[in-house]
Amino acid sequence: MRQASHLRGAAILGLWAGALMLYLSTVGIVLAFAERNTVTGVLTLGRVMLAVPPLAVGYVAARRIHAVGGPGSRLIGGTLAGAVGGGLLAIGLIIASAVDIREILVRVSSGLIDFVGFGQGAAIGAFLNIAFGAVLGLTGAALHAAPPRFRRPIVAGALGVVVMSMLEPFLRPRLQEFELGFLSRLLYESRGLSIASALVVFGIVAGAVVAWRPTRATVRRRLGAAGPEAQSTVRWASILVLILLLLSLPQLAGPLLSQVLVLVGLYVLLGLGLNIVVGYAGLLDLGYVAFYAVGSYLTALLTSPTSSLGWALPFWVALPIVVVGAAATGLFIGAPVLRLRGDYLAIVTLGFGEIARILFLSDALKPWFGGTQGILSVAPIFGVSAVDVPLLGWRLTGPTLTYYPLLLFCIVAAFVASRLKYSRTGRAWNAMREDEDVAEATGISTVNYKLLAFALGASVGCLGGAVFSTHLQSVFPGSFNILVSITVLAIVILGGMGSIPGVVVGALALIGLPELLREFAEFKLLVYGAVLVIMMLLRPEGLIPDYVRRRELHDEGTDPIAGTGAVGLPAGGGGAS
Amino acid sequence: MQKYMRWSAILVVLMLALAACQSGGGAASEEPSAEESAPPASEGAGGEDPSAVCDADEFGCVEVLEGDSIRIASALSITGDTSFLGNDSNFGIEIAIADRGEVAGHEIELVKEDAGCGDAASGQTAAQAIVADPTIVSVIGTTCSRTAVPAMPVLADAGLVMISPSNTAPSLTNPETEDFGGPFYFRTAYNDRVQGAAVAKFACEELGVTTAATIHDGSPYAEQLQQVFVDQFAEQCDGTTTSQEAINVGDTEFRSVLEPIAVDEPELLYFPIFDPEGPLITQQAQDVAGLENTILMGSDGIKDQGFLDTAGDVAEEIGMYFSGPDLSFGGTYESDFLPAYVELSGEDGPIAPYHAHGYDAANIIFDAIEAVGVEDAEGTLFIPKDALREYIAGLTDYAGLTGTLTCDENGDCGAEDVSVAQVVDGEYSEIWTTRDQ
Amino acid sequence: MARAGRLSLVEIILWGLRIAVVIGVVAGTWATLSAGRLEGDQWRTLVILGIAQGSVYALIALGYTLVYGVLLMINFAHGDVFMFGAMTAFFVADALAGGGFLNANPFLGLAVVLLVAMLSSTLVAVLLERIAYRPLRRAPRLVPLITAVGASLFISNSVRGLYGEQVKAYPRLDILEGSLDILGIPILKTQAMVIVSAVVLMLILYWFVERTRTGRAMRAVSEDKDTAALMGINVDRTITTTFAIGGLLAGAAGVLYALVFGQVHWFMGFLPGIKAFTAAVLGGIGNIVGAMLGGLSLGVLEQVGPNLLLSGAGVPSPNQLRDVVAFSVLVLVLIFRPYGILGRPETR
Repeated sequence: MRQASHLRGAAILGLWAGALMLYLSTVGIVLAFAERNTVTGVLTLGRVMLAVPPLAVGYVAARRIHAVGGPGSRLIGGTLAGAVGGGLLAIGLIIASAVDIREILVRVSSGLIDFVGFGQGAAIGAFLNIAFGAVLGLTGAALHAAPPRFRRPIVAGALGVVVMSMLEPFLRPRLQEFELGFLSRLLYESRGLSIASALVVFGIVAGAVVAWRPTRATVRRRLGAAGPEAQSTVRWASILVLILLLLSLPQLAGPLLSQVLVLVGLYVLLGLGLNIVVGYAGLLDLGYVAFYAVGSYLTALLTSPTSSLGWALPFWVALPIVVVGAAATGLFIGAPVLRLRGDYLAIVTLGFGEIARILFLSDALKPWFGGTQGILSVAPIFGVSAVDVPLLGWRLTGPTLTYYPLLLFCIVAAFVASRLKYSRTGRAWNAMREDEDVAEATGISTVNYKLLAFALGASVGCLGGAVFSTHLQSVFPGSFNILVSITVLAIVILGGMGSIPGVVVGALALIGLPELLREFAEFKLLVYGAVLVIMMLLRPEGLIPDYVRRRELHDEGTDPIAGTGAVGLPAGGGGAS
Repeated sequence: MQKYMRWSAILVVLMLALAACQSGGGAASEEPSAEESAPPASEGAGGEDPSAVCDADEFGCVEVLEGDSIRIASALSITGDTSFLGNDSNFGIEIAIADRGEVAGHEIELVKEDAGCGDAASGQTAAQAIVADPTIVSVIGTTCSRTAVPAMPVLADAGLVMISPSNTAPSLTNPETEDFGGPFYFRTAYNDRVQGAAVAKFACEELGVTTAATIHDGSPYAEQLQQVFVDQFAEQCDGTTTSQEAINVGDTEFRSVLEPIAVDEPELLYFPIFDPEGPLITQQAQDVAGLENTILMGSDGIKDQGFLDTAGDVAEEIGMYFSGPDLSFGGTYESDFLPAYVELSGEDGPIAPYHAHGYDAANIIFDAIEAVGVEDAEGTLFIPKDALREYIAGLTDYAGLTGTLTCDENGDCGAEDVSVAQVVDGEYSEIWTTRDQ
Repeated sequence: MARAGRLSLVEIILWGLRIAVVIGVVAGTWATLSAGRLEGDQWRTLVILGIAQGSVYALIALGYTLVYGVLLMINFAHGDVFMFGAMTAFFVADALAGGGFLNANPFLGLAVVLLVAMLSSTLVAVLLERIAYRPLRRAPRLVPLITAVGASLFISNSVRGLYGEQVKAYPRLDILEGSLDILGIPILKTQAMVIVSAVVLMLILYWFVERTRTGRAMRAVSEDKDTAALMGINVDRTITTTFAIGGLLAGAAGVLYALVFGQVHWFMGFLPGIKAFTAAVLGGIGNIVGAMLGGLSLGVLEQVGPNLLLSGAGVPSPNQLRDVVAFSVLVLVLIFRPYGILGRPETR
């Protein structure tokens, strides 16, 4: 009996996996990635995508059964889950081959059917899918059964292979640049890893993972034994190396990756700003793009000779004015919404963001903002389009030039943010976030602290906008829409609300990754949405959580009394106080 | 103190090492990323010395080894709402590649980059991606005029020519504006200055109207085009524009915009916008009193299958007009190109009007490569970049699919033939063209 | 919150805002009316447009208001629920129209289309509740809100991937062509249909919430979830029912919208969703009649506002600023009268 219920549970998991595989196929993700070779001749990224669900449910099924069943039943359960998943996909395949559903589900082309069926036609393809599903499920279960010291290296090695294959378009030109072209030819074949190099990469990564723990322990021990003098030396050395790395990153990365770095950096800056508003003060701002736009437009107006103002100030002279203007905007937007809570605040800020966008675009304000044509000839950040660094012979232009002031701003913003977090202001924000009425009662002027949060968040956002407009040397209204606000929110959420390193990680993941995987760019928003939902369900404190937040979010989640609003929840039903 | 001195010393050493590393291999990376061409000092096939040619060229050469493909890139809008525009042009390019087979003994490979449409930054990013790859010879793009603006400086810096199959904004080839694309920018699409003037001419001469109103949707294309029309309308026949309105992309209810326009009862309403707003305006104009006698006219933004599906029958009934590129190319367009298009794309017909322009752009580049490319004894092809640009800039009377093309000094190579079409039997049928004027 | 000195900055801004708004409205209206470009029956046409548009907003707003009532959260993804119903029903409508069935049997055909739309919207709404919202019922306010945003993105982009990006043209019904003459006022048949359908649905809903057991349960849960549970009400099921009803209404709204405008696409839920929420807030969130009122008001304000307030002032392309008017209304209402027209401060 128990056996049967295990199996049923496994089968249900398998159905979920199958549904996921069907979804990935019909939405177009599988086919988009089918062109990208992971291991040339053997595996494409699309195939990897289809392989993950059965693998995952095999693992999960094994884990569930493990608690109650015997050793063999784990493997059986995993295999079953995988097979059911493959089976569901097979059914989809058969239906799609028999009936032309392309009118409705536009992605189900013959190319997709071919791919899913391994190019073997419906019947054999279906069978193969079930078989592969079973094998993958078994592998997943086996991975669970394996002791962690085997599992970790294997998983890491596999991930390493996938990542290395994705890096091909970036490594190749860079290696060529540094006269290491032969290395890229050795590693890659037809845009993917060759079988040999895949094995090598797998081995290296797996080996590294195996060696990680003991090496780290040894280093720690040696360091601990060496005494404080040596420890601080090491610390200084690491910081130095980090600084050097950061400073020379554009040179190592090349112009394309530097462009990506600049985009990531911009969003890091925006994320740091939104972090203050959402993460520290707990004010959900869905119209953050308004500040970004204001910063860009102000900078353009002040520095471009052809703008309506035509003052043509140099960038660094205009910057303080922009920051002041930003703070004023923050106050202006913050003041009316002071009394609003939660959901209402979100919608109102959304409204502000849209208002800003439309106003900048409008014909009505065209004499000032340039309407759809925007403003051009925005001054470059150092007044010249290229800078030659004397000793090093570097020529900095475009993204490799913008990188440095951007880095500076990010560091400053991060510094300010981190000092704030542990200051009295930060604690006041914490209190406000937990329960506004109680905070007010203990003497914290929520009005002032909210305004401060908005003003600071606005300043940082505007800073980002300023860099953005000088980077493009123009500003167009089309760049500022709600998707920017949502993206920044997703970054902050993914990384962890209130967490500064989290913002960096979030930006790298959500901005860097689509650049890395061009096919992914089409599904960017889909992934953002999924990320937001999944993060909130599983790990609302983010990837690199802030300690306080984690405690807050998890403690309240399990405490039934906290749910009535007596304690913990921002009270007042989302309306005004 | 000693500790700090020690670390400072190490810092200096590291920086110098990095510098040396850079100067050796990397300093060149900041130069226009031409492939370092050190061709063997042997005679080329045509008796020219590749190394001399490449050294003389301001931007150097692109090197294509024997057996390798010549790589050209496309920077079009291939994802998002305007993906049909970019994909359409890509089809044209791919057909050109298939038709051509080989150029100078090498196969051709197309690298597709996404330049987007709404956000100018994506144009720049696409350009950066292309420039990072030193094997790319030329670029075909962008789809939307706005993305060309930040892309051009990046490409020009690397000596790469870009030919656009669908940018129509006049400012891109106007040296007096800031949008000016520069010497490396060309287009086989026409200039909207031409389209606006042609529409004005049609309105003045064929329709005989004296009052008009326009609506744009906030896109630079629509806004510029309707402005050109308004100016030309006044200039050519003293036409009065009673109102110039704007709507937002995403709106669905336009009767409140049409009512105020209807007050003045303009004889013509020109709205050079896109789907889905275009068909909606077409339908809703029928409900507005005051516009019964107003002639409706759209442009190539709605001259596609999507419009026919939603408002085609209405358009046919009221005799609505559409300005756009003259697609009556004749020649092999109907007999060879279209069937190839249908086969390649899996669509029933062209999904946008700029495929033939992509075809011509590609072929121009191929011709240029064959003209200026120099081969050495080992079969490596060297393509001097500035010479390539010069060839294209000097293009005269090129027999392309879209017409006889000549490039002017600002980069306009388009055949500049504008047509006006109506919907007849559910299809677009051209009833007037500047070619006949 | 009466700290005279500290509050002055905020108070100044707010008062400045009040004055600016009043001046703007009065001046703009005066200028427009004295310029007299539009006449009486044109204004009337605009108002009718607004009412028709507003009816669609009202139907969607009802879904927001119901969910807010029981869960105190904005279901950001509700707009996409609306979209999904319309999109799915499109395929049915297209199939029916293909054989000429739709025009031969319009009422039956429409009923089928409506049914499909309402069912699919309900399905999405219920799935949303089960998967994304239920586990987060006890979490801090921010969390389900963010989840809703994510869900909205996910649903709309999934539809984009599944059904494609192209705008899909709804088949046109012959019986809906043309206009009716009601009391001397010409109203488009489509508009009439929308208004009548919306009113009927709202009446049904009102009856349902006030007179049936389930409706009573919904009201009880929205008052106090835990007490309702103690009284023997199955809170989970009630909440699911609420979502389902919201879904039904949204699906109906979707079809009506599609019939009026003739087309659907994957992104069509975003703007109507936000505006419907604005309408719900305008009328007083949690209040059914309020949602109706708010929807109608917003619709009219949107259509009439730009023309009334801005064109007289010589603002070029005033209708481009239509959304600015709508959002400004939202902002102003929330600042100065956060409970909306019919709302009450919440008792907790």
